Amino acid sequence: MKKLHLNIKSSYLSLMAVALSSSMLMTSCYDDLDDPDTSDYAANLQVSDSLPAANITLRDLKLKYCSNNGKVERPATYTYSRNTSNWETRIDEDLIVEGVICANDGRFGCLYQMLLLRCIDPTTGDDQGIDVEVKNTCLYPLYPVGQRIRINLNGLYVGAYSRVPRIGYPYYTSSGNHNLGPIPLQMFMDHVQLIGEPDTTVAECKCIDRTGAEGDAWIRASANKVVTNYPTIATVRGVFLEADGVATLANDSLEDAGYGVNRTLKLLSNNSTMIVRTNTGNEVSHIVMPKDTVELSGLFSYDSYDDKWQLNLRDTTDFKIIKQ
Amino acid sequence: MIKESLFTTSMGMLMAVSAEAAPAVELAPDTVLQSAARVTAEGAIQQAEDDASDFTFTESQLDEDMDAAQTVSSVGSSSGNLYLSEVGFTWSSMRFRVRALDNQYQTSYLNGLAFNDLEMGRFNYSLLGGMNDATRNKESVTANEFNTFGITGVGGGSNIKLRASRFQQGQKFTLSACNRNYKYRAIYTFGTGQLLNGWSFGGTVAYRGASEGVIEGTFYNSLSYLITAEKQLGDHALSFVTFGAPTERAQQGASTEEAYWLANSHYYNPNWGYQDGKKRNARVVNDFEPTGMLTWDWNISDESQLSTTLGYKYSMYSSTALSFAGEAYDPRPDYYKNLPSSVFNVYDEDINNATYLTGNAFLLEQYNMMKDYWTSAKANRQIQWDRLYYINRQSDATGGEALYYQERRHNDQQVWALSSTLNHSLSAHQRLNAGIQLNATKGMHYKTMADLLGATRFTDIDKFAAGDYGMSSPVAQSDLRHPNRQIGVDDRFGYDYETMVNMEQLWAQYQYSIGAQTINVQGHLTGTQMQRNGLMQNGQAQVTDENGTVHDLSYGKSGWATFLGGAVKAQYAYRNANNRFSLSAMYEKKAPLVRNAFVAPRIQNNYVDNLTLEDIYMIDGNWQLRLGDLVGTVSGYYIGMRNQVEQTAFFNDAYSAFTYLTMSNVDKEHYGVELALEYSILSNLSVHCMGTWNQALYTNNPFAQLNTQGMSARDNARVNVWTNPVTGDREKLRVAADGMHVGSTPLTAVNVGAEYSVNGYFLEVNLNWFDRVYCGFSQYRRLTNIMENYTNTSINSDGLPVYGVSEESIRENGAVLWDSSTGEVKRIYGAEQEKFHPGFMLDASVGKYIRLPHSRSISINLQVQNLTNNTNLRTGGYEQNRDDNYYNSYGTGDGSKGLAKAYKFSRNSKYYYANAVNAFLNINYRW
Repeated sequence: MKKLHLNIKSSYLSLMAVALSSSMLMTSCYDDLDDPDTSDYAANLQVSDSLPAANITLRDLKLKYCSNNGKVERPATYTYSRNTSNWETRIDEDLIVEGVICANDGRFGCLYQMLLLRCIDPTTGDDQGIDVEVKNTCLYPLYPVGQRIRINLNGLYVGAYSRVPRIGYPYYTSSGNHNLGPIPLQMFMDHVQLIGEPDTTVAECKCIDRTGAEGDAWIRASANKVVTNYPTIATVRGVFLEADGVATLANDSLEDAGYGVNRTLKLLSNNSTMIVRTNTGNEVSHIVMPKDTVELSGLFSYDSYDDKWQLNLRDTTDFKIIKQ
Repeated sequence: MIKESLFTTSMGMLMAVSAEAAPAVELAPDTVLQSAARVTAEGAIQQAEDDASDFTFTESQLDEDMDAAQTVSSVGSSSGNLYLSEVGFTWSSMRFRVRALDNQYQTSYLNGLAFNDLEMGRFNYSLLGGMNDATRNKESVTANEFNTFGITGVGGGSNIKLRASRFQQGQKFTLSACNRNYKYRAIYTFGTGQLLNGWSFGGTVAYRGASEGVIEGTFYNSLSYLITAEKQLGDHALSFVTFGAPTERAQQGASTEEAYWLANSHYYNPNWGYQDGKKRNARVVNDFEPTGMLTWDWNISDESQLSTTLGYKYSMYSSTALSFAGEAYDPRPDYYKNLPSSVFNVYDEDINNATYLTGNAFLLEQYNMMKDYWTSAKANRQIQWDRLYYINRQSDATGGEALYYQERRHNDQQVWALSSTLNHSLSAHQRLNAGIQLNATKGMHYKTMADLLGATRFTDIDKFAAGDYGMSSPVAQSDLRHPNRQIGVDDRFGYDYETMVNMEQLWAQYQYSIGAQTINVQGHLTGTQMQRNGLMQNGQAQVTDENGTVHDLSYGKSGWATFLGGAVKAQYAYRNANNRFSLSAMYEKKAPLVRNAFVAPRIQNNYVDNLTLEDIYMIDGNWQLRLGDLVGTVSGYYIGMRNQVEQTAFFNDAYSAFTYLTMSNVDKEHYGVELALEYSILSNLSVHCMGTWNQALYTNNPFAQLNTQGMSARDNARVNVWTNPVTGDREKLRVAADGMHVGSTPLTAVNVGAEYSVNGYFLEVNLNWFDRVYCGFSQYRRLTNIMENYTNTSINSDGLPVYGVSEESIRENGAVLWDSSTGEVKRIYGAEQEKFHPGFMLDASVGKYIRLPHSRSISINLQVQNLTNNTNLRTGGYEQNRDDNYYNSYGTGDGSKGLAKAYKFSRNSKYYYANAVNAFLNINYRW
């Protein structure tokens, strides 16, 4: 009788064991995928068909749509203009521009939703840049510095924001202002072509040297305040007027409506000053301004409101202290 | 197919239809509101012209998980309450909760051992997933019914008996197919009954699975086992049972109506995307809670039985989530900036009209471009895994860190529990049951790196805090004891803490029966102790006092908080041949849950303010009747809850950080009526009906406490400031919760149905109607420093204060109205809560029972839910924890409200829908 009981038990337990083991075999992990191959993923970030070669230079584009023939003024014709500092023209033809991305939002997001396109004519040496606004907070892995690109402007807008030449798309700000703002990323992908691999050694990725007496003089000269001279990337030297060895480049208590803080850099060889503008909430903003001379690199542009040149640092590496 | 669309494009004009809203806000007669459109705060600083709040992540993810766990199975009743025995199953498709009560108010026992989780308060039904046959043997009672196992919560309780001798003798094999979360199921169950040598054995093993569930992008993979053995030794019996259900499942995510419209399905799931052409879900739950229980039953005498159970459970629960570093773009496909309605305010008739949009063609062009992108390919509206890998590899190639990663949030738990219960008959009319319950629970909460998504580097700092305070700031460090620690796959990071809860309960029940009358009284005394033990020293929880001394509030133990609670209950019942009347009442003082007890448990040891015993009281009347062929039950109840503490955790888009919002001194009321009737027309044909109307409301404006991860203690203090606009004094922050309904369950439900059987065939049809399902309200949007505050601009001729805000604006946004003469709050109005459309659902089931020789049988059952395929029934949802305005002083906000955003979060809650038509085929073979 006892043996029979054991047999019954073992029969049940055997069935349990079979059921359990077969169930465990079925219970393979579903959440287990191989890492994807992304070596060709860049094809998804651009137009599927190649764009034709550029048919307008950045200089001509800026002269026609971003200035009054080079003067920092509104052009004679435009699609929309909110005021004399902000305007735009819709492009309805296949205008193709080409250049190299020499600045983007970078790992700290210092330049918000923008790519700086720069092209140096190999023949004439003409050096032009334009701000390309794209609606995404993390552009630098998608469109890295050194990447040559071609953009078909058909359906996009060219104009100026605060008199800074810009390719973008109109939008309404939260305060109801119609401005030339960022191009939706998906729309940008439908207008851009990547040419070759990124190469940061090209001339377009080198900052223009505006250090020294010659650079200071260039910055001081009013005649240089023309749209063909900005935006670009440059290096300058000077001392911060606000430097006390404690204050940082930007903090929340000082930020203006654009989430940024302006600091004043006095040039070394003359009394001219320029603006160093930094957005709050990024690593660069926490840099303490030293009393020493600094060498700064970054987006070099013209602030028509203050009638001063302005520099935006791209990264902490753009900030160097020069011991006297 | 979505039959009604919120956003339709026609001749260049977009029409937006607002969701139905209940008239919850009744404006006080002692205020006068101008009919002008909404008035913005004076002196608002102009905001940045771009939306700088890109760093957005998630909604109420914790609560999302909780929603899934809240559905209450039938409570049942030992006294034969027809309503309670039917309601759980009949209305489960709508996630119906009896009396709108959370699962935590039901007490679930296993072999007499209380098994509600001491941290969350709830019983985790997935603990017993797939063990249907093994867990049928149970005793269920309502809140105040006399029972043999212990004290239950205000929602009643049950005791599942897992002793081997209670298993049905024989074997059973079940095969099931369905189109729900899983698609196939197999269960094998056996019970030996008591063998001649005194041993009994029982067990079950089950598998439930689906490579893809009924919701796209989900899967289900679950094994269940239960083994039990019992040995009878004279008057003693020793029983051991162990069980577990290792489960891996991918989750569905709720989304907005706009996203559902664009995807052309109310079952759109934003949680998945294609990775190398294969579907991958970002939110995968792994759950395994192996449990063992040893029970000693001692039959002391014919009058007395003692049952003692020692239990141990080690729970391993984790869920993954996609995360991103501060500067990366939000990876959610339905992130609001990816939606067409983010282009312009589609709810503003001054904008959403043909004239305006013709004059601003770029708005419509962008809207249509985004709409076309969503609708042109399925992959466009899902997570772009390949892009995340590409971005991470690009970052890695330049020495950067992972911008996107998948983290695994662990909520492990170890429980030791002991119960001992004495059932004693004092006389033929008197019974006394008494016992103790002891429980020691340790929760282990941390997260690990699940997948770096192609990257190779990750530093354990708070990326958002690093932006605000600098990477070198201590505030950015997750653990100051291991600063800038490099994290690899499976490493712990971010947060790591334990919570310890001990509970000791002494309880007793006494029942006196004489003739048709029965009285029972019950009581318990319960001690609860809790504390947190921080295993990381978070940089955000370092407070500097006035002497410059830094105090760490993160690492180490918080110290014990102790609570002594208890309850008294009483029930009077009268029974005659055809009727049973009962009237019962209870009052309980209940310790708060540890999950609500800490200001920011991931970061610091501080207890929330006003942490005290909660008061719960209820009265309940019930009539059960039998009039010829008619049987039924009618009940009415009232439940009051006072001084409760509730905490929600969510990713706060306004501050780009994970945020805890704790409400204290919460008062709620639940009351309603329940009815169930069944009439037998023939011996094999009956009809039945069932209905309930409930009210479940917050009845005050509780105090609020915010703690935002990524902020220093100083800045966290600033976001808790609510300033009196008249006196300039600091007021205690509150949530405008008064009048808000408990959400995500029908408060009104009606059922009519019929059952018919013939020749072993069974047929049942049920038509159900559901109404008054409310959207879960956002407490954050109703904070008194988030809502607009108005001071009366004048006094009218009747002496009433006049406010520059319209009634419409108050209904939509809420408002705090101040009296300029007294400097006191006149009224606080929360924004109106959305009530979902009511709807019908038709269910049917058919079955056949075949008796075979040698006591064998086969039964086949096919159940079809939602026969009419009503895909528009919302089972629940929640408002997004974000308001419609920018903030001044972004990042450390001074609390003042800025300008309006184009996208309206207040109009874009996230919803869940009841399953479309679905079937469940079950075949049992018993031998």
